[in-house]
Amino acid sequence: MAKCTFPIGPQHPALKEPESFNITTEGERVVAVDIRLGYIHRGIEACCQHRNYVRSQYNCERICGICSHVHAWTFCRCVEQLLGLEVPMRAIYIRTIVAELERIHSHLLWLGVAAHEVGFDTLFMYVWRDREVVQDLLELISGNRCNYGMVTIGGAKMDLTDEIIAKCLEGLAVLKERTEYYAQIATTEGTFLKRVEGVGILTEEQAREYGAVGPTSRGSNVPYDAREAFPYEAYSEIDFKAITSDLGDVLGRTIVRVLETIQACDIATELLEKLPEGDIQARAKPRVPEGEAVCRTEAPRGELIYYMRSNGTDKAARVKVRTPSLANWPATILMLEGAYVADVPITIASIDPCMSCTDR
Amino acid sequence: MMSELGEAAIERVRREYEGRILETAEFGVYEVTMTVPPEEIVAACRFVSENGWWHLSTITCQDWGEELELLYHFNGDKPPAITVRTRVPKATPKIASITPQLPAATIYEREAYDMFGVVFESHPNPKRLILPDDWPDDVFPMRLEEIQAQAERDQKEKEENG
Repeated sequence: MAKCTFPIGPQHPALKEPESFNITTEGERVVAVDIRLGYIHRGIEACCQHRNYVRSQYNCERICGICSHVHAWTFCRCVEQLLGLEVPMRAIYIRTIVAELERIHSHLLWLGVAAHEVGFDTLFMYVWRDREVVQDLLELISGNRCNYGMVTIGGAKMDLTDEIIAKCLEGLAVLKERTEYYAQIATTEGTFLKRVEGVGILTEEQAREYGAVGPTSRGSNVPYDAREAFPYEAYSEIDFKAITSDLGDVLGRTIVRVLETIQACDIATELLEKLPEGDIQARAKPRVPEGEAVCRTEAPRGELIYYMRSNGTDKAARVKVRTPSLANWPATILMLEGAYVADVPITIASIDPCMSCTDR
Repeated sequence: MMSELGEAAIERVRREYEGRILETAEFGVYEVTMTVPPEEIVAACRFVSENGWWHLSTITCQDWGEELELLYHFNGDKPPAITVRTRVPKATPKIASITPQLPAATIYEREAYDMFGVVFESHPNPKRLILPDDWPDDVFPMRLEEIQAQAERDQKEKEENG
């Protein structure tokens, strides 16, 4: 059969963000995929070399609109490491709580998008309705629905009052209950299963070899979670295990994300209940001594890594950001090869791709 | 001061790695580094990936003026993580690609080529990844001279606009 190559993107109705895939097909099967990035490259790494640490932090927060908090958080952790700054315990807890709320919001957003991609729009609308609960909590805490601005170098921006804590606990209970219902749907609803079972297969060896991260690799039974492997901030004080699934297909990734949402509700609840008293801000000097730091964070989409080198001035000499979406592309190409053309949208959606993250 | 875990990891690398190691150190939290000569990068990365640090997180490139430094960040299931580092001269920035051994590196190597002009020899797909197709072949936007030029342009623009 004759081969046919056609582009999907950078402007395409099935993609929400600009990215280009050149797909070669033979009949209904995809035989080769070539990917081209950079349509929304903003040069944020270079910007960090032009701006001081405080301005760079807010710049980095805008790398992604969904997981913005983890970017600012990882940036600040790098600077704090270079400064040798001791962050107050209460601030550490608040930062971790916001990160877990962000994970809930990101995973629910993804579940809605995935449901929409497979034509299950009822689930999409239900999930997005419930996602408003966590959005309201984040707005209550920080004043914003996204780009919360909750971290500063050496602490947290805003404190949690008793009233906010009570409202959060209430909201988390609702979210947990709803997500458990979605977990049940995702594993039993026939129309959904038919569409995701055996689609976008990634084996454990492939996931390891091609450097997949986050729910994409955990859905292929790779038990790597940066929160567990390199416990940072408040995660060292909580007992939890990375969630995995051995299915290795879109269903596996769905199960991991839904269960992680439930786990995130538990972690956030535990942290809110254990929230220590005290200050939320340590004083930081504007000039950072020479040195290097590497920080790994488990963002909603997977491991996020920052490398930072300082040269003794108020500007960083090099900031390198590797976002989870970028790491997942080689594995995605592997999933697409051999798949049906009709499965391309859901397979791409199953890694929860963020093009703004990919390009930076 | 070195942590116990970091010290043990460095000792192990020193004992078991058969190639040349120029330097080892510990930095930050959970991180050790080993510096190797550029011609041994494939062997060093293979050694690291076969000894528990199975996951290549990313490759960082940075410009030191005369030289470009490459950092290969690896990690395993527990601390410490390891960074393999090497330097290539900026005039002839060539190094062997590790993609044939570690497919995870493909996208990071292509990014380092686009931004810094490091040529990864025997990379299976050495095409542009991020920059547009009509981007000039000899301009690498993350190199120091480009960063400097941009800073000057910014300054000029600021002065012109008051």
